[in-house]
Amino acid sequence: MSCNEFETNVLELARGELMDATMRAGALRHVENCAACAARLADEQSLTNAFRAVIAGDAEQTATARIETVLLAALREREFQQTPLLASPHVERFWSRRMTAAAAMVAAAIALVVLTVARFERQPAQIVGAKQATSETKPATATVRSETPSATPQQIEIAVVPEKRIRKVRSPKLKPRRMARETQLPVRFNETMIVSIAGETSSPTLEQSGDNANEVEGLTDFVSLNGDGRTSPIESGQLVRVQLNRASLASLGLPMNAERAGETVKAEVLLSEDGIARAIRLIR
Amino acid sequence: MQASSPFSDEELLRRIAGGDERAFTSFYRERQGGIYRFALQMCGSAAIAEDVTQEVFMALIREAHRFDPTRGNLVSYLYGMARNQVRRRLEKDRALLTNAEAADDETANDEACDAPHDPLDELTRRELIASVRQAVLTLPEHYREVVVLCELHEMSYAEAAGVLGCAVGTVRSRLHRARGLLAERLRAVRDAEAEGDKRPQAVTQRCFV
Repeated sequence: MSCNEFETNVLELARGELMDATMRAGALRHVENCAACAARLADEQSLTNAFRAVIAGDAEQTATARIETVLLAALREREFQQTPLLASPHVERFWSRRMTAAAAMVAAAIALVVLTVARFERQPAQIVGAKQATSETKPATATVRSETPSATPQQIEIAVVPEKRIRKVRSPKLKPRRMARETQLPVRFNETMIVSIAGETSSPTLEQSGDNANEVEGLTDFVSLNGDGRTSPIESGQLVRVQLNRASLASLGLPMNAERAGETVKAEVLLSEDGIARAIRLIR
Repeated sequence: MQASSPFSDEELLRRIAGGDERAFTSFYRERQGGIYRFALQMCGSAAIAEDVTQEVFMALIREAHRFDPTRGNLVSYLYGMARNQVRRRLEKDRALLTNAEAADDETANDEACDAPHDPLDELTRRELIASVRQAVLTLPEHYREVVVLCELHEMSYAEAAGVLGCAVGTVRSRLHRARGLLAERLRAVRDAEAEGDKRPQAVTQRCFV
């Protein structure tokens, strides 16, 4: 065996690895006759022994217990999260994304339904019997919830307004400054006003927009519907026009002519964005 | 290097992903030492080694799906992650490494003071270990990797090649070259000591005076 051949095998020889028996015998014979290669082998064996000493010396080196604690905490956090299966990562990731998207859509739909129902249930002065396509005004019962927690919902009678005659108009009447001035409640946003037009009492002026409508109809100041009579600021509002039985005005704490208790009166109820009736004003 | 867990790699990961603490704890305790030592031997800093160990197992918990059994076993996968983490940390913490090495050197001397029965033998052994550690740390990174994996973690060339993502022949040639460099450096240290370096005696005096 030449020195070059020995060099290619010295590593296996020094590390005591399995090697061809003939090769091993040849390498050992070469060492006996070549001082340089013998020194080379001695160096390599010394190095191997040094490595073994390091392995033994480092055997007890481990990470601190703190790491295990941190990792176990992380594992518990993920306990209820399902990791995709391992076999086909791409397919699993694809399905994972689809499942996530589907779950998000379902959650959004449920949230929408819940919000809609909640909003509907919180509507304070709900027009009842609107399906009756008649201009005849009939007293109906609706609930006006007061903002005061302790106050019980007040039952008031309001007029039936034919559904098809309810229309939405954008009214500059509800400009925040004017609205705030009239109601004494700070209002920032303008909202769509729902104008209900009852048959005989409807007036063409109701369809007008702008300050003229107020002037022609004649509106009283807003009266707070809070139990304690105080006003509180609202961010935005919605005006709902209703027809009330005059007798119900008394239940709202408004002055009422007892002789005309059987008549109806038109009013505008200011709803805050949470659907609570904040104030009311009468239309003359 | 084969896992002694009763579960296959896939089953083990599935259990870990499902929050099986016993499976994780068992696997962690079995494997964390190797990962920690690999990081320590690669960078010479116990703090970095701890961080790397934590990151590797954290990745296993959070991204178990990234393991591809067709590319190697789970242990090789762990070492591969540890290697990437170490490389990142080494690039980031070059400045810290010098301090850590100095600290380790002091620690080695301090440990020498705790030598149990035969202080001189123990001291010699610790000096040898410290010398080898230092010599390994001075190797270029691609040589250091193969020395740590093949010599200090006793991996086969094929296993090391799996961790490093290179050919077996590459591992073999790098190891050959790395051992040559180490032999030279250790010989230089021995020669220096033989020529009158009194450092071991100084340490001994410091311990026993």
